Amino acid sequence: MNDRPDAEVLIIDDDASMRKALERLLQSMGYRTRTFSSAQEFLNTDFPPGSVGCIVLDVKMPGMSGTDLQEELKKRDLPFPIVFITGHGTIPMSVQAMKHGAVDFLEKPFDDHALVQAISRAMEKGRQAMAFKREIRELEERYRLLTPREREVLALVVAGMLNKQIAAELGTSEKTIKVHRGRVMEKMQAGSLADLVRMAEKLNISTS
Amino acid sequence: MWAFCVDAHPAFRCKDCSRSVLRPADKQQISLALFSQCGLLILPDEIYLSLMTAKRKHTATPALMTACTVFLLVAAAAFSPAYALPSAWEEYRGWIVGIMLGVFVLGLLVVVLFQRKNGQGIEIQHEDLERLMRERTAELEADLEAEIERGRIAQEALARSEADLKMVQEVAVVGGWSLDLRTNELTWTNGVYDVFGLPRGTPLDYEKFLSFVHPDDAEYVNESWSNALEGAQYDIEHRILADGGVKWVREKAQVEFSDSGVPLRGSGIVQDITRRKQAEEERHVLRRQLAHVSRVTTAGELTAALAHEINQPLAAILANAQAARHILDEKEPDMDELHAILDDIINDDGRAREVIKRIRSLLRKESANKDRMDVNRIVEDALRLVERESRFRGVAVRTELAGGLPPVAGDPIQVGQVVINLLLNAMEAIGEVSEPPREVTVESRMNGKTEIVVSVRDTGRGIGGNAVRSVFEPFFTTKETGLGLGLSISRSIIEAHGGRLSAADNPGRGATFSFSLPVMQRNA
Repeated sequence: MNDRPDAEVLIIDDDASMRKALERLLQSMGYRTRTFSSAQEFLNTDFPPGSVGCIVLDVKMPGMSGTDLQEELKKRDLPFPIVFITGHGTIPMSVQAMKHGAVDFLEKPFDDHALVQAISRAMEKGRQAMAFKREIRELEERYRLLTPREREVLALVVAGMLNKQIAAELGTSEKTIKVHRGRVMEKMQAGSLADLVRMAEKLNISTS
Repeated sequence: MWAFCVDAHPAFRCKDCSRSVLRPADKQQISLALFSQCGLLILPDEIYLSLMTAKRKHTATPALMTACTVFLLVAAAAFSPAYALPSAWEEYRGWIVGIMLGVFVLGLLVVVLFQRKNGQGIEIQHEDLERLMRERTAELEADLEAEIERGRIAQEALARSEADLKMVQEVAVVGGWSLDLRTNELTWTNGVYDVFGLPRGTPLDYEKFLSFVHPDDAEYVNESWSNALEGAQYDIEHRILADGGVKWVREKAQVEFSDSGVPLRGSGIVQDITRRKQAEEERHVLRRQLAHVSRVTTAGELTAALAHEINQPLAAILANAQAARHILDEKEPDMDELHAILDDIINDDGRAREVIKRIRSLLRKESANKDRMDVNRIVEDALRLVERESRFRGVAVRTELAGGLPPVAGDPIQVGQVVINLLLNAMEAIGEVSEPPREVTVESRMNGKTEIVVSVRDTGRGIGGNAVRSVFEPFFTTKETGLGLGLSISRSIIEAHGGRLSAADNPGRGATFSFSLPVMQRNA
């Protein structure tokens, strides 16, 4: 049942009894768990980069609420997928949470299947997010290898300009552009122009 | 000769028929007495008048007879030598007889003169009398006419006042009645017949009246009337069955008693107060509904916290139970863990039950009880209910509860509701202020010997000058989601308990709401 050995479910709830029960339930289903009694305690914990897992988060807590923590995690660029649990949810509250990227919003008391499904989805989303993030990081590293001139050429290439046009734009020969372009494809490890365009999109390089 | 004289004397003859008015035996006596008719002169007026009356009526009165006899005896004593005078007077007998004779002669003269003058005098007196009679009659006639005139005016005034009364009775839907307690005859004015919806003039008695009284009120009416017959006040309100429906009437009556204290007659008024009663009842229902609404509103404001509190243990129970199932599915279930799980389930169930119990008591709809209550306990219970709310809002709640407070009389649920309301208001007020301190202080203390004061002090933004006056008005609110009923209902609850609820801004920051409750009387 375990999605991945290094994936942890991080339980954040101010109610000790609930925390304990959740921990037991998830462990009995084979998850590794860690519990936190408040949002602050969670934020004070150091997570090794590349940590995977999902958060099961109580919405209403004294001090920093679940939704506050969600915003804070976003700010800190910590891509933990969140499953919210709430004792008394309101529609605006759940809409807000979902908009901000929550995976699910479970109202207490909830069924173990519903919780497992939500956690599985969250884990999957977490993995995707992690993969996406890793890819971006790789692309950024490759992009960093480009010279300023090569970056200019890349931007114009993905904008759909021909070598000739680019040469005119940059005030150089078509042959020089051809060399730059070859280097860009090589450094970015792009197999085709389409590949390069996709990479540029992911890197949010203007194509206009 | 005296007898003849007496017989012939006009004083003893009827003026009209000239017959003697005296019996023969009387004549003998009177003739003697008439020795000196001057005796008549000295007769008192009334005897003289009796004589005159006797003359008219042909009779002589015993008084006259007695007077004459007395005179006769005196005269005889003077004349007869057989009567011995005191020896000192014996030598003057001749003088005495002489004087008596002189007196006699003088008396005759006087009688003749008197008789003549008297005749004239009577005539004059008669005339005077008649004149007087005429004058008096005229006076009386004038008086009578004046009296008749006055009567007529009074009659008119009475008619007018009766018309006025009738109008008043019609407008006020009121009628009068009178019950003769000796004959049990009950008389109603038309107004009463109209109120009871009976044809006017239907014969009535007390029992018949009772038969129209609402069965649930009959005993009360009968008892009140019995008390009235013993001198108690009779001013009651009860229902009657009239026109196929139920009406409310007010009755007020007075009982007349004889000198010996026997009730003779009861009379009173009946007023149809159905509309007033309906309005009262509607007001009452409205007030009750309002109180309920406020309770529900207060509850509604608490629902978020309470639902969370109920769902929390429920969710924990479910998660624990499901965990237990997974553990049981294992090859070697961890029995210690299962035990721990079951213990936690039992604890959480207790938590949920506790919350439900609190909600139930909050929503209870019964009207005010008058229990002995401990104010500090009410405050502490209320604090437990809003504890979670205060943690969420990050508000510290401090208590300064005086020890050894005497009990107060009232409904702990209602007063608790007031405390909760004040606490929630205080926290909400602090919610709008960010700088510390963020705290609510609940204080209880004695004020003098007769009342306990509970105050809730916050460090919020305060009420603000003008609003202090209007915060207790219904539907006054500064909250977006508030109904504006909490404080108004709180005040009516406190006033129903004989206390006061007041508000004031603090000198520094925030506001203080305080209420007082009278200390329970020892004998209550």
